[in-house]
Amino acid sequence: MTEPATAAGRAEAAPVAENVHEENLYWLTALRGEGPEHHEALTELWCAVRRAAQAEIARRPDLRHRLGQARVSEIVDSATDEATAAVLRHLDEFEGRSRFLTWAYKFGVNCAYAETRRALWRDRPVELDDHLTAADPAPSPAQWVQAKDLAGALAVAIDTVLTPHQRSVALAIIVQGVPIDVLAERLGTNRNALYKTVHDARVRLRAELRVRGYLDGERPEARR
Amino acid sequence: MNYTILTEAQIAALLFDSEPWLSCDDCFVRVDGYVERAAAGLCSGDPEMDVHLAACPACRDEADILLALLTGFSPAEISPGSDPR
Repeated sequence: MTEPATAAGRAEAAPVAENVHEENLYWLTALRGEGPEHHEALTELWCAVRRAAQAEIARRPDLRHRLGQARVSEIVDSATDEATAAVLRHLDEFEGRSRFLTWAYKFGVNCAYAETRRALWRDRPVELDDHLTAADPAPSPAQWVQAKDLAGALAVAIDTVLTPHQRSVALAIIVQGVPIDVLAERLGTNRNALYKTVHDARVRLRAELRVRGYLDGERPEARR
Repeated sequence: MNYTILTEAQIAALLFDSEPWLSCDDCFVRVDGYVERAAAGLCSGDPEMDVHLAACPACRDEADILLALLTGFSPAEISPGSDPR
């Protein structure tokens, strides 16, 4: 689908509505309907979602250099089509808590964001580390004492209180900088699940360091 | 005992207090309303979203892009090489 010149900008004009509620009603009615009004609304929706996808691309001026213009254009087209379909699929979930266009934009942004990350990491391996340190998996009290600063104590905690999955996911995302959507694709899961894993890891790490006095500002020396 | 050297930013991210819990899916449901309030200069009134966007860089990035769209940022006006942020 190409972008008709007459549709450009019309999505922002909200041709019928005087207020947000009426504007939203126009979109819902037209997109659920049939005939010329449906087709026109669908075209305007596609244009709006495309703007959202392009906004993600525009904020990354390095993309064209790293991926090439042709690949960038493919990403915009793909994200636009996927996001438009998603908007229509989720139409009944729109509750009117925002403008319809804002609600639709987020699908375009989400699809483009994920696609650009996957494209940038397509040829990059992701190696999951299951240990941050070469520490003894069962550190002695003396080893804890040696971890005099927060970084050291955190490193020990990462290796001792997290599950292997929590450790590898937290290290990949936070230390290695692997985008969460890229890691989700590699692991056959989704962003939601990985964020939960990171959240649970943070809870465990904070609990452990709190017990050992690090998060309260207490220095290990003061506890002797 | 050898430690991988963690940066201050990594330490802060690993120990970030991401309570109250909000999933990425629920963040996606709320982000349009949240960003519209931000664009209008209003208080978010959504502490769960505030925390999630501070804790999840991906969701934060998407919210920033959405905010840029609402505040008049035009992708067509950005020339190659410029940083829209």
